[in-house]
Amino acid sequence: MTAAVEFLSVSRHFGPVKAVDGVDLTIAEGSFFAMLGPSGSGKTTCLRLISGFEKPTGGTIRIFGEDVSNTPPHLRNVNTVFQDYALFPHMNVRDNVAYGLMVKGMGRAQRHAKAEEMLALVKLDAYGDRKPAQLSGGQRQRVALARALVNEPRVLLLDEPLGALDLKLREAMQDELKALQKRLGLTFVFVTHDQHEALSMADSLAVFNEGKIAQIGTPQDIYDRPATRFVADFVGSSNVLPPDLTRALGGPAEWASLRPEATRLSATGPVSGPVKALRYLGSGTRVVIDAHGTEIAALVPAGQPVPAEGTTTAFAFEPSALHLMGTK
Amino acid sequence: MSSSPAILPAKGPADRLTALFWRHPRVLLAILLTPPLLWLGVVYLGSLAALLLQSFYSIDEFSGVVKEEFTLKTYAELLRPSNFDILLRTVLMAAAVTLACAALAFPIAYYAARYAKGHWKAAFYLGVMLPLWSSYLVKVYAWKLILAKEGIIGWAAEQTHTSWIIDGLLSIPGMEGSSLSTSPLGTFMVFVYIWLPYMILPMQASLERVPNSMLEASADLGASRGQTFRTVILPLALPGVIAGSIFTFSLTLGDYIIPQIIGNSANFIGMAVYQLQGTAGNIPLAAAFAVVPILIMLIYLAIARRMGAFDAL
Amino acid sequence: MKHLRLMGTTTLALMTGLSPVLAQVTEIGAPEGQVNIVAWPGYIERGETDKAFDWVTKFEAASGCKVNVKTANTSDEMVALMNEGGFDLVTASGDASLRLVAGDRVQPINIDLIPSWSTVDDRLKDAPWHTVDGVHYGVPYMWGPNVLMYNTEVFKEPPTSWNVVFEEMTLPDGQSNKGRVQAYDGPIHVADAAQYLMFHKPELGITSPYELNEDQYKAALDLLRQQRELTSRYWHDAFIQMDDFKNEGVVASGSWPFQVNLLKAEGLPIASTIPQEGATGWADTTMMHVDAANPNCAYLWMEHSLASNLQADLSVWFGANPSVPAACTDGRGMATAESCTANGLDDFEKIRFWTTPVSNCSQGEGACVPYYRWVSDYIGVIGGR
Repeated sequence: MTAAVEFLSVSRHFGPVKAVDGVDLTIAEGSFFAMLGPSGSGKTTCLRLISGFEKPTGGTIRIFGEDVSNTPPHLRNVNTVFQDYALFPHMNVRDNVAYGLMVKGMGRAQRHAKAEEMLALVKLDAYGDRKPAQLSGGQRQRVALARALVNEPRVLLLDEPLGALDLKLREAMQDELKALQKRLGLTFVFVTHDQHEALSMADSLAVFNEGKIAQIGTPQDIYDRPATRFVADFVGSSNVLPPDLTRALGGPAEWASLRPEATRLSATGPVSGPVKALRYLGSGTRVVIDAHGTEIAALVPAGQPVPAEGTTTAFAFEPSALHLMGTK
Repeated sequence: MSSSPAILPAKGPADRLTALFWRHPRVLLAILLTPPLLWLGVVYLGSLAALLLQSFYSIDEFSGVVKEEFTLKTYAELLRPSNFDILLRTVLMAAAVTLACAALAFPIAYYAARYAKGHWKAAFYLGVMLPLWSSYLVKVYAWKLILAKEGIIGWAAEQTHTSWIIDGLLSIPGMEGSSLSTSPLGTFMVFVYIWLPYMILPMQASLERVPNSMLEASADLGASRGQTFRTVILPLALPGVIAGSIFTFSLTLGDYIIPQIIGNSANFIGMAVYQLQGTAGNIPLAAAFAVVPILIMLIYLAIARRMGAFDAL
Repeated sequence: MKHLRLMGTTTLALMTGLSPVLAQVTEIGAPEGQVNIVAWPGYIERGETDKAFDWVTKFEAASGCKVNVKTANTSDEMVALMNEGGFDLVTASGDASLRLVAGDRVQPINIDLIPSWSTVDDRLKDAPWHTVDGVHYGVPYMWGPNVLMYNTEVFKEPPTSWNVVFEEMTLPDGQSNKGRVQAYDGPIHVADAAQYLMFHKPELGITSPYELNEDQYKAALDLLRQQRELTSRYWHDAFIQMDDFKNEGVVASGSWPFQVNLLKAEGLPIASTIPQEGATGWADTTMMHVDAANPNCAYLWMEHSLASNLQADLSVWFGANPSVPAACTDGRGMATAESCTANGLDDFEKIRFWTTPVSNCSQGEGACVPYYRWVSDYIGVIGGR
């Protein structure tokens, strides 16, 4: 498989701030790749390094094998869907979509036909004459998508593309984006801080922390086998167990992660503690137990009895659910 | 548990007044708007109407007394070659000044809006505003000295043996003068200097409102800098350019001080109005002259509107 | 009551059916305590600009009339202020005085109540810019010529003719006068051209530069168009003109003694002359408002304004000529025979004083070109038409 994007120990420093620090990364062609991390972790800077809005201060970036370190954005065959969509307010939807074709010198009739085609793809065929201000957030998002895709880029970059949408619309768009990517067979690289979004959409993802990649892999890998405490904590709201607690629970003296949904309450067990908080989630109840100073969350499915706050309870899990992360 | 009442007692007239405004929001609006509207309606529009009325009177050929009868004769007089010259000269000057201001202001405004940060931004505002704080007349007189034959520009040209440049400029037909200070070119330069801040500030404000992502999007879609400038920056900055040009254009149309001090004494609309309403007592012609800038501005605004200058407002 | 009140108000005149022309003050009563005067800047000094020049303080102490001055910069402003009312006196020039008379804004003066009237220059006593049908509408204040100011480094000898500003020629320093001369930026300058033609083209039959028929007027405009070619800028502000002589290389122009005196005082090589064609000039008159609220103080001021020491000091201060010739010689003020000569006192006969051109003139009813056309045509000339 060809690499669509390659980072070879790429850095981007802003003075003393190391926004991206020695990142190595390979994004396979045709994959749906997510960059996940809290704000300030370097994921957006990485995206901007691919589009060319940032220049690396060290290392090499290749797109389909070509070194793009000295290529300005407008000569890179990649397109971006911006977080705020960045639609041109003085042009109608059709002209917005046709913009990339216009600056390349395509004739008016031809580019308008292509734009309409692309609007049909994102189910906005009737909206060509409207101004961006007359569209809803979801519609603008689709226009931004169409505007980027009409240029037939080798890689499509999406910067928090669903961040501004409400929950329901976001879920619908997630499915649609995924379907679109499959249909077009394009490489999609998208940035998000929402772990659910990243896990549900990406073929593979990179978790960023403080300018470095903490872990890279498939969603399954990352969810089930977080490489570090940070990943475990950030990706899945996992229970992170310190070495002594792991040992108390029968494991080696290592850091470990334990999924709440793999944890159940039991009458007896090696470790018990008082119930500190209860949170009703609809599909179940999240029970937080104070286990020798470490908070352990367990998910009680709906229909099962829930202990009252303050009562002492023990907990249990399948030994295979405990994922060890080393001593550091 | 305390047992404070659900409704607090009014503390005084201010509380009661606020309550009144809350119950009847229109009362406050009326109180706020009536005085300025009265001022605008009576004083401003009233005098404008009086002006318009005067322009339809004429002056008696023999006695020089104003005849208060409706006629278009006075407007016809505007078309007399010597009067039409004044209109043409003023409009051309205003247009040239506006174009020059726009061309000079854009890079400055662009820099200030996109790149200047912190101290540099403060320095920019200070630099642009500072000339506005000193007296208009002082600036014009200072320019008279700068542009004079024996002024600093002439001196510098002589020292660097570049007087031929100035002489060349002053021999262009229509620009003739014994020095920059007595040439229409000098009038133009001073106009540009005096009105430039009025172009920079609205331009900068409108450029500041263009989000960075818009420019990145344009580059991302394959546009070169020039294409981005033409198709994104300029259209989005247009309201600011138009606002600035309304200032520079109308201020030049109406000014009568600068051409009196700098230039070859040829009349501009403002000077003609000043002279005609004075000793000549030819109020109708003065009024007709004064109506011209109003008409020109209305046409200008109509064109600007058609060009979509106000769409982004 | 010993004093009779002013009878000449318009209302009274209308009520009694009398023409206001006949109504005038017959006796000076007790001073009202103040007098309000519209004056040219520099005309009424109380020592605030320069301690040596004060002709108000002593008057106020002696008469009990406080002097309030409102300065006006143009004749039009003066006329406008007098039309508004609230003033007692105005120092009107010839291009305003007759308008004030025609508009009934000023009242006749009873010269019997002004003892110093007898000391007034005989040539000014019945001057047409304040005397209408034998009735006096004011007392003369100051007068001066519009001299030809020149640079003495260029002109070793004073120029003898106004042709240096009207005709293209090579000046004594070997360079053309093109771009080095100026002219006044007011339509009244048409009269200067007419006066030049009066001398050089007698066949036009001009008798007064302020009374021009169509042909004479056209010839004057043609001369002015020729002058436009020579003039890089016209002047209207005395200080701008002085600056142009200093920084713009201007070497000759019609001007006022005021500028000449100031430039000389700065040590610049400037002098003035009245060439063979003569010159135009201005003569100002203190006139009294028809509704003057303080007529007694007004009369006291008019009497004071003719005092030879005031006239002498003002003459030196303003670079003008006193209306009372004795001021130049009696030594009560700063003026001397020499200073008066410098200001043009001896050139009275050569001077034709500014007056507003009207269409009904000595050439007949409607025979002359009225002032409003001078205005629009002179605008055209300066604009290159």
